[in-house]
Amino acid sequence: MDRRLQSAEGRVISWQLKPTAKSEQKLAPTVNTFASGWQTALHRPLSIQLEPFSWQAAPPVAVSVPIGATPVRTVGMQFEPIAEDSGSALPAESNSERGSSTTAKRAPRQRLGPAVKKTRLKPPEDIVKLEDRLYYLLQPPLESLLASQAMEFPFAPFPFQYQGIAFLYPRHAAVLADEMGLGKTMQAITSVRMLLRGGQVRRVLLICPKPLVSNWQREFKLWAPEIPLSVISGAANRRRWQWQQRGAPVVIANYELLVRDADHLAEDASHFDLVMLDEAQRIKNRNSQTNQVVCSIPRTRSWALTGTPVENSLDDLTGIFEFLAPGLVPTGLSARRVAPLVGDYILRRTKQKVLRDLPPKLIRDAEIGLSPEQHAAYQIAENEGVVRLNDMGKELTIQHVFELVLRLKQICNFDPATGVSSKADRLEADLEEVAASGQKAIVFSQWVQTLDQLQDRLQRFGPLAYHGRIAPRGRDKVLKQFREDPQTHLLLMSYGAGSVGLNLQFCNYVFLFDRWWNPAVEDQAINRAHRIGSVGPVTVTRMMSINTIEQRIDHVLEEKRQLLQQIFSHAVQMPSAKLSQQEIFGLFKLKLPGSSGEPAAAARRSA
Amino acid sequence: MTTQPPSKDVVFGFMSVVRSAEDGLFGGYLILNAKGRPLEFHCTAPVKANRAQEILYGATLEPFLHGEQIGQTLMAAAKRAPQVVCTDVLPVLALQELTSTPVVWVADRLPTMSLATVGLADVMKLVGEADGERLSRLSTVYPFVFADHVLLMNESQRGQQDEICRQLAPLMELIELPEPFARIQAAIEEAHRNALGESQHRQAG
Repeated sequence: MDRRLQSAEGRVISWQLKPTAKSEQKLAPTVNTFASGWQTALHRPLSIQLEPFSWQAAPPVAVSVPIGATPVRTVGMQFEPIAEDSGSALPAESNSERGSSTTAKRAPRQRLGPAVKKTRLKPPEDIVKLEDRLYYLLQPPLESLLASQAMEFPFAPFPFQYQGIAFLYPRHAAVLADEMGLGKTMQAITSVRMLLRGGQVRRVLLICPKPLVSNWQREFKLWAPEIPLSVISGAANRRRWQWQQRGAPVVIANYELLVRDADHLAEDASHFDLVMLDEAQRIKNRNSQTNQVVCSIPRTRSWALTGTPVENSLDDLTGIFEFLAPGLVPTGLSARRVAPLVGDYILRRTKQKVLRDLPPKLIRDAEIGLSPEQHAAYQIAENEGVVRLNDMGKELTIQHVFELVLRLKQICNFDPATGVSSKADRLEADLEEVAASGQKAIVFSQWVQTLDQLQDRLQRFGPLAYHGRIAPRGRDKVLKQFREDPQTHLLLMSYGAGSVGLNLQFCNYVFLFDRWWNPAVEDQAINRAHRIGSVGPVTVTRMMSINTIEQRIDHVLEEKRQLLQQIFSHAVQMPSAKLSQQEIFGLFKLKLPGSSGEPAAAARRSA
Repeated sequence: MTTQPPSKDVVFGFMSVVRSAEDGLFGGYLILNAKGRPLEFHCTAPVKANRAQEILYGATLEPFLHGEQIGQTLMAAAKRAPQVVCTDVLPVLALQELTSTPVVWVADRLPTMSLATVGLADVMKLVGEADGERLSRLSTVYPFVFADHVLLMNESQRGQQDEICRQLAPLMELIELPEPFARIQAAIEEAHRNALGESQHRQAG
């Protein structure tokens, strides 16, 4: 087989294929050109090597990428619902009553307005177990919980009261320290009611001052009428029997009887699911018998209600916390160190903070000059008194100074010889106006004798008296008459009997005929009238005799109150501006015995 | 519509998913009785798609994580079977393909919305931009209105809306329907904080 090729230069190369062996072919081209060295190469037989080639490709290497579902870990927990249907400590009939009201058919609510803020339960910080914390976080809002328990209220609670209930309800140790008049009683009763209905508590002990027992009974009837109460009272044998009874889920006792019945409590070894103290400042002194008896009661939950958790010093909190969480608050700590310790246990709101629409409280200081008779008596008493005190030297005690202060204050009220009183004159004039407008007024004094004198003098205003000499069983009658009798315009109260726990919000006038040592007590007195339910502005008249000890005390208290307001804030209530020993001595420019000789006035400046 | 007294056996499921930029998705599942009180709570450890899942699942990743990974796991962990599962997270609707229990997405209705009819365009107004995109991909959902709320369910469940409303009605006397989602979120945060605390405690130990 001949083959020819023509090169680019025109030369022709031809060759012949000669078949050879099967696997090999030799080519012998015939060259028609001149011979040269390289041409010999053309005579060499061409050989082509054929190698077998497999067209089958190597298999690809597969790499698996895990994209499938990795198992998801879960954490789960189951809860016992707050069981209003089972385990309630309330009598069956009250449960069935509730059952009937829950079956009321209602259409799903349609709101489509601005969302109403709901109150959520939050676990207290001292609950550590996750399951327990979630139990509270996963509950419906408080409003829904109350609705689902068909809890009805005579008045719609304020939002801050819901917050107070949400604070108390999950806590084993709590202080509700709202300012007077914000409804601590209602918040406490509703919390107790929820716990009883949920079966979380079965036996509750409420301890309050004796004059407030009937007030608590009234409030329970109003806010939780289905809860049976048992009031510890009567002779020792009867009380012993009462302590042993288990019929009523709520037992009410007063502090005085509790101390007397300490042995019964110990004998009985009775355990309470909740012990609640009203006016808990009564146990502020941890060495007192009251504190020790209260703290010895076996209990699961401990709640304290007080408008003044700190009356004199921060150490007052130590006494209250011995009951709530023993050892949590040592004595002698500064406010800065105490605040974080107690922050989660205390809820404190003031009217200014939460009650924007509470009627205003108008405070006016009535500065009244002494009558000539009073002035004369006052001058003699002060001059002689100061001389006598100075003569006492190192024998001088706070009691001696105190006696002089009281003596002078009494003269500011009434002249001891003639009974003349410029304050009473002014009060009488003011009361004319009060009575003429059909209003009612409360007059506070620290002395029953002063109240008696006023009662004699102000007969035409139908005065009623409410103080330590009125038997407790007669006090409710007095309040009822004052509330209902249109001819009765005046209630004469002592600070001691009338400063706490009473609701007299139908009164629009309060007169402080003389001033108490501690503004917190005065505030409590004023708040009998200026509280939730007040129907109009409350006018408070603080009566003060000018150029007397009353005015000096007022100046000191005011300075101190302002200074303390700058220092204290937040969780711990401002300690009251009660006068110290140095300040009482300073009222007469006396030196405090045993002091380094600095004038008391200097001590006052540094207070 | 009249409200029947709630039966003790009637329970409702509420499922939500909390997204954490660092950890991924935390699923929470709350079972409530007819009075809105908690009976069970389950939550997942954080679920995070790996890179391969992100690439290969594409647009189906969210429904996979929310429906299959989280939703199905949580439902399986629960002891009780609810009448309805409510969610506030759109991709959880994918759970419907894995369960016969109706799964509904819930949101508050706008005052301007018609009570009688509601369309996907209305629902678009309720959700954010990101959810709007999700919603546009969900072609098989059916919206309806119940009281103050707009509900969205899988088209396959269409016809059950009256029954769902009937079942939810007693619960809605006591709580707002979206309210339990806030509880779930608070509980997930608490559980997360707790887990972090334990982890720090272990490290310190």
